Amino acid sequence: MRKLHVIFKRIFIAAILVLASILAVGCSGKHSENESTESEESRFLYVDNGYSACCNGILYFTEPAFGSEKEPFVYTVDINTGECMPLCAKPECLHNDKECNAYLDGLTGCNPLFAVSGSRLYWRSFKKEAEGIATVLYSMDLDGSMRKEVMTLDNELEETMNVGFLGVYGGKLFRCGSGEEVRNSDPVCMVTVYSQELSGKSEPKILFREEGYNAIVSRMHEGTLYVACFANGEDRKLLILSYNMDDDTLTELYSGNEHPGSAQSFFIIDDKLLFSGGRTAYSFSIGEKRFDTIWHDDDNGVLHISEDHAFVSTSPSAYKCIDLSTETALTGEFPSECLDGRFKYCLGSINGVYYFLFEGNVKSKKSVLASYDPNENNFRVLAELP
Amino acid sequence: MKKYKKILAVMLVAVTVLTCFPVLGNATTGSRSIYLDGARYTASYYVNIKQSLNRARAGITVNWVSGVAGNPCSGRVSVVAVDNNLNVIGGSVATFSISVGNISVSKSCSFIPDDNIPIYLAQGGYHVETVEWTLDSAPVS
Repeated sequence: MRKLHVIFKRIFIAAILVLASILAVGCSGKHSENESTESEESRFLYVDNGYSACCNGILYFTEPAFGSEKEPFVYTVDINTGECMPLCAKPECLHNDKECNAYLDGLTGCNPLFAVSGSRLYWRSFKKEAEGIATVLYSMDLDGSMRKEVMTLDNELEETMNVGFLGVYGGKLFRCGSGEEVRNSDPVCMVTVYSQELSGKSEPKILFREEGYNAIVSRMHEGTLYVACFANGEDRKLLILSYNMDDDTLTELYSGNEHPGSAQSFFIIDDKLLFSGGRTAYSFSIGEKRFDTIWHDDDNGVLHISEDHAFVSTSPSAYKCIDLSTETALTGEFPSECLDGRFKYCLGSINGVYYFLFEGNVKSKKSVLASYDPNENNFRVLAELP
Repeated sequence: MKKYKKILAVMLVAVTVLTCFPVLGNATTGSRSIYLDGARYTASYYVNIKQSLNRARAGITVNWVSGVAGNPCSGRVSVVAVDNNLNVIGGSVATFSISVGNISVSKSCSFIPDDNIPIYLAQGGYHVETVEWTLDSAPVS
């Protein structure tokens, strides 16, 4: 009888273990599904602009660091309904002070470098300490609750990489940034890429650091971190790197100066990197090591591409949107409430719809978030930010 | 009557031009005193566009002048550039910190686009401790 009891006990433990394994596999499967959803939906969003991120149909953004008089609140937009609201579910909160869950303290003139990973929103902020400024990684749930300080970042590295990208993958932070040091009264520009365990217990690992480049754009895609380092100006050059975040290998994909121009961001479709946000939108084929022009506009400003369109402002108040397959152009005027001398930020495109933030640097002018759908050739004002 | 019509027409054109075309920024410099925690500092700052290099740059030098500060003096400097259609095409920001015992710190940040897009200065922003100011080149509408 006792022997039978031991056998049953063993079978029970084995069943528990099998069940636990199934649950663990199920959960990890769901996690990777979330990550792929994120990269799919935000494929044409400028993830390295520092002030927006997208996951599961929700666009998270804050007003760009354009003058420090702007209050740094996080807003969300449901991309299906266009509903825009502060990221705060606190009852009776008026969303107008530091107690609000959507308020990001300590930014004072810097972009938060948003990243969504799993069920958390990550961002970078600053904290005054006895030794100087501490750069800190924070995170919170996607409803604005459960805010926590993840870790203090390496100040020496962060000091020269304020503009750039922040991403989280496999329990690690990945940071890419450009900046400059003043040496003998001359500025020396550089780019840096490093990773660090989110536990903060290990030292940061420098993956790449080089002088002579003054801009960096980056993107994560299916376990790989892609990085493009630009040297703009007299000694123009481009370096494209890929870093396999699973096996820690760094590969140089391109180094030279045959690229068509600068870019604000790039996207990844199949084996191509699509560069957008310069006067020429172009692709780089990883396999063929070749650049191809997608669209070029000599007369106007910067081009923003989506799955099938290229958008460009033709004046401060008018735009042109080109269908890339038919090469026909739609034209129109920006909505009147978006003008008044406001500067325009393009957040990129999600599912073919462009998102713009129109911002004035005069206190009385409120920022306006608007979307543009090329299929309707129509702008829609989503929110006037307080 | 014709004269009034002409004046009205000129006024209309002027209003249209002022409404549609922004006036964008030039180089600016300045300095100011900052009192912090028992110490005095001076901040000299600049923001400019170097047309020959098509480069926007902002910088700051903070000098300790007198007093003993219990804490380091820290801050940020930033620059933002737009194209002639008011699209923000880039910017940069740099942080700095001057520790107790140090006399001076200099920091700059710059933005250089490629492909000959003419850039205009939108703003140079400065933040030292709790003091914020901007060298503002807002477009006038």
